[in-house]
Amino acid sequence: MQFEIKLISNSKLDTINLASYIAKFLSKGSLILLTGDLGAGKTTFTQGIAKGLGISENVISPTFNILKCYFHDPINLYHIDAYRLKDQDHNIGLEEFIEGDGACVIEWPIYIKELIQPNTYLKVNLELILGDKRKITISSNSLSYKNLFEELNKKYV
Amino acid sequence: MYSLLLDSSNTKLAVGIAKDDILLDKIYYDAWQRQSEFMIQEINNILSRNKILPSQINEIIVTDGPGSYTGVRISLTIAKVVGVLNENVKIYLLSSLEILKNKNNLSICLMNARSNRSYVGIYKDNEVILNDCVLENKNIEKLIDKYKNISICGETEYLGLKSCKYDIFNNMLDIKKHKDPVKDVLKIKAVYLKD
Repeated sequence: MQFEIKLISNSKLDTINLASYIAKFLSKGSLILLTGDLGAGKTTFTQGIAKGLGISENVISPTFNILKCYFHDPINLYHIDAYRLKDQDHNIGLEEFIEGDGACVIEWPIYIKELIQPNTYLKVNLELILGDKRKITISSNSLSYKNLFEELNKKYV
Repeated sequence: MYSLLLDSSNTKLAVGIAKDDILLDKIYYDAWQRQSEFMIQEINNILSRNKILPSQINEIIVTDGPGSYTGVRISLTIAKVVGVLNENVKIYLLSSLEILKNKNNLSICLMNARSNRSYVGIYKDNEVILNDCVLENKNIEKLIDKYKNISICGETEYLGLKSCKYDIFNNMLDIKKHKDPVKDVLKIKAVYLKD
Protein backbone atom coordinates (compact mmCIF):
# COMPACT_ATOMS: atom_id res chain seq x y z
CA MET A 1 0.00 0.00 0.00
CA GLN A 2 1.20 3.48 -0.83
CA PHE A 3 -0.71 5.24 1.96
CA GLU A 4 -2.37 4.33 5.21
CA ILE A 5 -4.13 6.16 8.02
CA LYS A 6 -5.95 4.90 11.12
CA LEU A 7 -8.84 6.85 12.62
CA ILE A 8 -11.42 6.40 15.37
CA SER A 9 -15.11 6.91 14.82
CA ASN A 10 -17.20 7.36 17.96
CA SER A 11 -20.58 7.15 16.29
CA LYS A 12 -22.53 6.39 13.16
CA LEU A 13 -22.56 10.11 12.44
CA ASP A 14 -18.75 10.25 12.69
CA THR A 15 -18.52 7.46 10.12
CA ILE A 16 -20.96 9.21 7.80
CA ASN A 17 -19.12 12.52 8.09
CA LEU A 18 -15.77 10.90 7.41
CA ALA A 19 -17.12 9.10 4.34
CA SER A 20 -18.83 12.25 3.15
CA TYR A 21 -15.51 14.09 3.38
CA ILE A 22 -13.71 11.35 1.45
CA ALA A 23 -16.40 11.48 -1.25
CA LYS A 24 -15.13 14.94 -2.27
CA PHE A 25 -11.91 13.29 -3.45
CA LEU A 26 -13.67 10.77 -5.67
CA SER A 27 -14.16 10.94 -9.41
CA LYS A 28 -15.50 8.83 -12.27
CA GLY A 29 -13.86 5.44 -12.05
CA SER A 30 -13.02 5.65 -8.34
CA LEU A 31 -13.09 2.31 -6.61
CA ILE A 32 -13.55 1.85 -2.86
CA LEU A 33 -13.22 -1.51 -1.18
CA LEU A 34 -14.97 -1.87 2.17
CA THR A 35 -13.98 -4.60 4.58
CA GLY A 36 -15.15 -5.39 8.09
CA ASP A 37 -17.43 -7.73 9.96
CA LEU A 38 -21.22 -7.75 9.88
CA GLY A 39 -22.39 -4.60 11.59
CA ALA A 40 -19.02 -2.86 11.40
CA GLY A 41 -20.51 -0.01 9.39
CA LYS A 42 -19.79 -0.72 5.73
CA THR A 43 -23.23 0.35 4.56
CA THR A 44 -23.18 3.32 6.95
CA PHE A 45 -19.89 4.38 5.39
CA THR A 46 -21.49 4.05 1.95
CA GLN A 47 -24.36 6.26 3.10
CA GLY A 48 -21.73 8.86 3.89
CA ILE A 49 -20.20 8.50 0.43
CA ALA A 50 -23.63 8.98 -1.13
CA LYS A 51 -24.20 12.07 1.00
CA GLY A 52 -20.85 13.51 -0.06
CA LEU A 53 -21.69 12.90 -3.72
CA GLY A 54 -24.98 14.75 -3.32
CA ILE A 55 -27.17 11.67 -3.63
CA SER A 56 -30.37 12.05 -1.63
CA GLU A 57 -31.68 8.53 -2.29
CA ASN A 58 -31.61 6.22 0.71
CA VAL A 59 -28.66 3.82 0.53
CA ILE A 60 -29.44 0.35 1.79
CA SER A 61 -27.39 -2.82 1.93
CA PRO A 62 -27.24 -4.55 -1.47
CA THR A 63 -26.68 -7.97 0.06
CA PHE A 64 -29.65 -9.44 -1.82
CA ASN A 65 -29.52 -7.26 -4.93
CA ILE A 66 -25.74 -7.66 -5.29
CA LEU A 67 -25.66 -4.31 -7.10
CA LYS A 68 -27.53 -1.07 -6.60
CA CYS A 69 -27.10 1.93 -8.88
CA TYR A 70 -27.62 5.52 -7.79
CA PHE A 71 -27.67 7.63 -10.95
CA HIS A 72 -26.60 11.16 -10.24
CA ASP A 73 -24.72 14.02 -11.88
CA PRO A 74 -21.81 14.31 -12.10
CA ILE A 75 -20.82 11.03 -10.47
CA ASN A 76 -23.03 7.93 -10.31
CA LEU A 77 -22.65 5.67 -7.29
CA TYR A 78 -22.53 1.92 -7.82
CA HIS A 79 -22.79 -0.12 -4.62
CA ILE A 80 -21.83 -3.79 -4.83
CA ASP A 81 -22.10 -6.40 -2.11
CA ALA A 82 -20.24 -9.50 -3.26
CA TYR A 83 -21.22 -11.60 -0.23
CA ARG A 84 -23.67 -13.75 -2.23
CA LEU A 85 -21.13 -14.27 -5.00
CA LYS A 86 -18.88 -16.47 -2.89
CA ASP A 87 -18.44 -19.73 -4.82
CA GLN A 88 -20.80 -18.43 -7.54
CA ASP A 89 -20.29 -17.45 -11.16
CA HIS A 90 -18.74 -13.98 -11.13
CA ASN A 91 -19.36 -13.42 -14.83
CA ILE A 92 -22.32 -11.09 -14.47
CA GLY A 93 -20.95 -7.87 -15.91
CA LEU A 94 -19.77 -6.24 -12.66
CA GLU A 95 -16.60 -5.01 -14.36
CA GLU A 96 -18.79 -2.48 -16.22
CA PHE A 97 -19.33 -0.79 -12.84
CA ILE A 98 -15.91 -1.48 -11.30
CA GLU A 99 -14.31 0.09 -14.34
CA GLY A 100 -17.19 2.39 -14.99
CA ASP A 101 -18.41 5.94 -15.21
CA GLY A 102 -19.00 6.44 -11.53
CA ALA A 103 -17.72 5.77 -8.03
CA CYS A 104 -17.94 2.11 -7.15
CA VAL A 105 -18.11 0.86 -3.57
CA ILE A 106 -17.63 -2.86 -2.97
CA GLU A 107 -18.46 -4.72 0.26
CA TRP A 108 -16.89 -8.16 0.65
CA PRO A 109 -14.41 -7.53 -2.23
CA ILE A 110 -12.61 -10.77 -1.39
CA TYR A 111 -15.33 -12.75 -3.14
CA ILE A 112 -14.70 -11.01 -6.48
CA LYS A 113 -11.00 -10.27 -6.11
CA GLU A 114 -10.11 -11.28 -9.68
CA LEU A 115 -12.48 -8.58 -10.97
CA ILE A 116 -10.78 -5.99 -8.78
CA GLN A 117 -7.11 -6.90 -9.17
CA PRO A 118 -6.02 -4.77 -12.13
CA ASN A 119 -7.46 -1.59 -10.65
CA THR A 120 -6.26 1.08 -8.24
CA TYR A 121 -8.47 1.66 -5.24
CA LEU A 122 -9.11 3.12 -1.84
CA LYS A 123 -9.49 0.48 0.87
CA VAL A 124 -11.48 1.13 4.03
CA ASN A 125 -11.49 -1.38 6.86
CA LEU A 126 -13.96 -0.92 9.70
CA GLU A 127 -13.31 -2.66 13.00
CA LEU A 128 -15.70 -2.81 15.96
CA ILE A 129 -14.05 -1.62 19.16
CA LEU A 130 -16.80 -1.16 21.71
CA GLY A 131 -20.42 -0.11 21.35
CA ASP A 132 -20.60 2.51 18.63
CA LYS A 133 -16.83 3.00 18.46
CA ARG A 134 -14.99 1.89 15.33
CA LYS A 135 -11.36 1.81 14.23
CA ILE A 136 -11.24 2.82 10.58
CA THR A 137 -8.13 2.06 8.54
CA ILE A 138 -7.95 3.79 5.20
CA SER A 139 -5.30 2.78 2.69
CA SER A 140 -4.60 2.97 -1.00
CA ASN A 141 -2.42 1.33 -3.62
CA SER A 142 -2.55 4.48 -5.72
CA LEU A 143 -0.59 7.70 -5.69
CA SER A 144 -3.66 9.48 -7.04
CA TYR A 145 -5.02 9.62 -3.48
CA LYS A 146 -1.96 11.45 -2.08
CA ASN A 147 -3.99 14.61 -1.59
CA LEU A 148 -6.73 12.79 0.31
CA PHE A 149 -4.27 11.29 2.78
CA GLU A 150 -2.52 14.61 3.34
CA GLU A 151 -5.87 16.25 4.09
CA LEU A 152 -7.03 13.38 6.33
CA ASN A 153 -3.81 13.68 8.32
CA LYS A 154 -4.34 17.42 8.75
CA LYS A 155 -8.01 17.11 9.63
CA TYR A 156 -8.11 14.05 11.88
CA VAL A 157 -4.67 13.33 13.29
CA MET B 1 -44.37 -5.78 -43.38
CA TYR B 2 -43.39 -4.07 -40.16
CA SER B 3 -40.04 -4.65 -38.46
CA LEU B 4 -39.10 -3.60 -34.96
CA LEU B 5 -35.37 -2.87 -34.49
CA LEU B 6 -33.81 -3.13 -31.04
CA ASP B 7 -30.32 -2.61 -29.66
CA SER B 8 -29.18 -1.99 -26.08
CA SER B 9 -25.80 -3.69 -26.22
CA ASN B 10 -23.77 -0.65 -25.20
CA THR B 11 -24.47 2.84 -23.93
CA LYS B 12 -27.40 3.63 -26.19
CA LEU B 13 -31.04 2.70 -26.21
CA ALA B 14 -32.03 2.09 -29.83
CA VAL B 15 -35.54 1.41 -31.05
CA GLY B 16 -36.50 1.59 -34.73
CA ILE B 17 -39.54 0.82 -36.80
CA ALA B 18 -39.40 -0.08 -40.48
CA LYS B 19 -42.01 -0.78 -43.12
CA ASP B 20 -41.02 -3.09 -45.97
CA ASP B 21 -37.37 -2.68 -44.99
CA ILE B 22 -37.48 1.10 -45.06
CA LEU B 23 -36.83 2.90 -41.79
CA LEU B 24 -39.87 4.93 -40.70
CA ASP B 25 -38.82 6.21 -37.33
CA LYS B 26 -36.16 5.80 -34.66
CA ILE B 27 -35.42 6.52 -31.03
CA TYR B 28 -31.74 6.67 -30.09
CA TYR B 29 -30.22 8.09 -26.94
CA ASP B 30 -27.77 7.53 -24.16
CA ALA B 31 -29.17 5.24 -21.46
CA TRP B 32 -26.14 3.44 -20.05
CA GLN B 33 -27.33 0.73 -17.64
CA ARG B 34 -30.85 2.16 -17.78
CA GLN B 35 -32.25 0.60 -20.93
CA SER B 36 -34.37 -1.73 -18.76
CA GLU B 37 -36.17 1.31 -17.37
CA PHE B 38 -37.12 2.84 -20.69
CA MET B 39 -37.11 0.30 -23.51
CA ILE B 40 -40.67 -1.02 -23.31
CA GLN B 41 -42.00 2.51 -22.97
CA GLU B 42 -40.03 3.63 -26.03
CA ILE B 43 -41.29 0.69 -28.08
CA ASN B 44 -44.83 1.76 -27.17
CA ASN B 45 -43.99 5.37 -28.04
CA ILE B 46 -42.59 4.58 -31.46
CA LEU B 47 -45.52 2.35 -32.34
CA SER B 48 -48.22 4.73 -31.17
CA ARG B 49 -46.71 7.81 -32.79
CA ASN B 50 -46.57 5.93 -36.10
CA LYS B 51 -50.07 4.56 -35.56
CA ILE B 52 -48.89 0.95 -35.64
CA LEU B 53 -50.37 -1.69 -33.37
CA PRO B 54 -48.01 -4.13 -31.58
CA SER B 55 -49.92 -6.95 -33.30
CA GLN B 56 -48.84 -5.59 -36.68
CA ILE B 57 -45.16 -6.28 -36.00
CA ASN B 58 -44.05 -9.10 -38.31
CA GLU B 59 -40.43 -9.31 -37.27
CA ILE B 60 -37.93 -8.14 -34.69
CA ILE B 61 -34.34 -7.37 -35.66
CA VAL B 62 -32.23 -7.44 -32.51
CA THR B 63 -28.57 -7.60 -31.52
CA ASP B 64 -27.46 -10.52 -29.38
CA GLY B 65 -24.01 -9.27 -28.39
CA PRO B 66 -21.24 -8.82 -27.60
CA GLY B 67 -21.47 -5.93 -25.17
CA SER B 68 -22.85 -5.00 -21.79
CA TYR B 69 -23.84 -8.08 -19.79
CA THR B 70 -27.22 -6.64 -18.82
CA GLY B 71 -27.61 -4.36 -21.83
CA VAL B 72 -27.52 -7.18 -24.37
CA ARG B 73 -30.11 -9.11 -22.41
CA ILE B 74 -32.66 -6.29 -22.28
CA SER B 75 -33.39 -6.22 -26.02
CA LEU B 76 -32.86 -9.93 -26.39
CA THR B 77 -35.34 -10.77 -23.65
CA ILE B 78 -38.02 -8.57 -25.19
CA ALA B 79 -37.48 -10.21 -28.60
CA LYS B 80 -37.36 -13.70 -27.15
CA VAL B 81 -40.58 -13.30 -25.17
CA VAL B 82 -42.43 -11.92 -28.20
CA GLY B 83 -41.02 -14.68 -30.39
CA VAL B 84 -42.02 -17.41 -27.95
CA LEU B 85 -45.53 -16.08 -27.39
CA ASN B 86 -46.20 -15.35 -31.06
CA GLU B 87 -44.58 -17.80 -33.46
CA ASN B 88 -45.64 -15.63 -36.41
CA VAL B 89 -43.15 -12.95 -35.44
CA LYS B 90 -39.73 -13.68 -36.97
CA ILE B 91 -36.64 -12.90 -34.94
CA TYR B 92 -33.34 -11.91 -36.58
CA LEU B 93 -30.18 -11.93 -34.47
CA LEU B 94 -27.39 -9.56 -35.45
CA SER B 95 -23.92 -8.90 -34.10
CA SER B 96 -23.88 -5.68 -32.10
CA LEU B 97 -20.41 -5.02 -33.56
CA GLU B 98 -21.44 -5.53 -37.18
CA ILE B 99 -24.22 -2.93 -36.90
CA LEU B 100 -21.53 -0.30 -36.24
CA LYS B 101 -19.79 -0.80 -39.58
CA ASN B 102 -19.19 1.80 -42.24
CA LYS B 103 -21.14 0.19 -45.04
CA ASN B 104 -18.90 1.21 -47.92
CA ASN B 105 -15.56 0.41 -46.40
CA LEU B 106 -13.49 -2.16 -44.58
CA SER B 107 -14.43 -1.54 -40.95
CA ILE B 108 -13.03 -2.48 -37.58
CA CYS B 109 -15.89 -2.38 -35.07
CA LEU B 110 -14.95 -1.92 -31.43
CA MET B 111 -16.52 -1.90 -27.97
CA ASN B 112 -14.96 -1.56 -24.52
CA ALA B 113 -14.69 -4.96 -22.85
CA ARG B 114 -12.93 -3.55 -19.74
CA SER B 115 -9.62 -4.75 -18.24
CA ASN B 116 -7.73 -3.27 -21.20
CA ARG B 117 -9.60 -5.40 -23.69
CA SER B 118 -12.06 -4.77 -26.47
CA TYR B 119 -14.74 -6.62 -28.34
CA VAL B 120 -13.57 -6.55 -31.97
CA GLY B 121 -15.02 -7.55 -35.30
CA ILE B 122 -13.77 -6.69 -38.80
CA TYR B 123 -16.24 -6.45 -41.67
CA LYS B 124 -16.11 -5.60 -45.35
CA ASP B 125 -19.43 -5.28 -47.20
CA ASN B 126 -21.24 -8.44 -46.18
CA GLU B 127 -18.12 -10.43 -45.41
CA VAL B 128 -16.73 -11.13 -41.98
CA ILE B 129 -12.97 -10.59 -42.04
CA LEU B 130 -12.49 -11.16 -38.30
CA ASN B 131 -15.19 -12.86 -36.28
CA ASP B 132 -16.33 -11.03 -33.14
CA CYS B 133 -13.80 -11.73 -30.41
CA VAL B 134 -12.09 -10.23 -27.35
CA LEU B 135 -8.64 -8.74 -27.89
CA GLU B 136 -6.12 -6.96 -25.67
CA ASN B 137 -6.16 -3.23 -26.39
CA LYS B 138 -2.39 -3.21 -26.91
CA ASN B 139 -2.87 -5.41 -29.99
CA ILE B 140 -5.52 -3.25 -31.58
CA GLU B 141 -3.23 -0.52 -32.92
CA LYS B 142 -1.21 -3.20 -34.70
CA LEU B 143 -4.39 -4.66 -36.15
CA ILE B 144 -5.50 -1.27 -37.44
CA ASP B 145 -2.08 -0.60 -38.99
CA LYS B 146 -2.20 -3.94 -40.75
CA TYR B 147 -5.10 -2.79 -42.96
CA LYS B 148 -4.84 0.30 -45.14
CA ASN B 149 -7.68 2.77 -44.98
CA ILE B 150 -9.79 0.85 -42.46
CA SER B 151 -12.75 2.63 -40.88
CA ILE B 152 -12.78 2.69 -37.08
CA CYS B 153 -16.34 2.24 -35.82
CA GLY B 154 -17.86 2.36 -32.37
CA GLU B 155 -17.66 4.35 -29.14
CA THR B 156 -13.88 4.38 -29.32
CA GLU B 157 -12.99 7.32 -27.03
CA TYR B 158 -11.74 4.85 -24.42
CA LEU B 159 -9.01 3.87 -26.89
CA GLY B 160 -8.23 7.46 -27.76
CA LEU B 161 -9.47 6.81 -31.28
CA LYS B 162 -11.93 8.79 -33.34
CA SER B 163 -14.78 6.82 -34.85
CA CYS B 164 -16.35 7.23 -38.23
CA LYS B 165 -20.06 7.91 -38.39
CA TYR B 166 -22.31 4.87 -38.40
CA ASP B 167 -26.02 4.32 -38.91
CA ILE B 168 -27.08 1.32 -36.89
CA PHE B 169 -30.70 1.30 -38.05
CA ASN B 170 -29.99 1.15 -41.78
CA ASN B 171 -27.14 -1.26 -41.11
CA MET B 172 -29.55 -3.54 -39.25
CA LEU B 173 -32.01 -3.50 -42.16
CA ASP B 174 -29.21 -4.26 -44.64
CA ILE B 175 -27.60 -7.03 -42.62
CA LYS B 176 -30.94 -8.71 -42.02
CA LYS B 177 -31.35 -9.25 -45.75
CA HIS B 178 -28.47 -11.73 -45.64
CA LYS B 179 -29.66 -13.58 -42.57
CA ASP B 180 -32.17 -16.27 -41.79
CA PRO B 181 -34.62 -15.81 -38.96
CA VAL B 182 -34.09 -17.85 -35.80
CA LYS B 183 -35.56 -21.34 -36.09
CA ASP B 184 -35.80 -22.11 -32.39
CA VAL B 185 -36.58 -18.96 -30.44
CA LEU B 186 -36.24 -20.79 -27.12
CA LYS B 187 -32.56 -21.35 -27.87
CA ILE B 188 -31.79 -17.62 -28.21
CA LYS B 189 -28.85 -16.77 -25.94
CA ALA B 190 -26.70 -13.72 -25.39
CA VAL B 191 -23.30 -13.80 -27.06
CA TYR B 192 -20.97 -13.15 -24.15
CA LEU B 193 -17.46 -13.63 -25.54
CA LYS B 194 -15.80 -13.44 -22.12
CA ASP B 195 -16.97 -16.89 -21.02
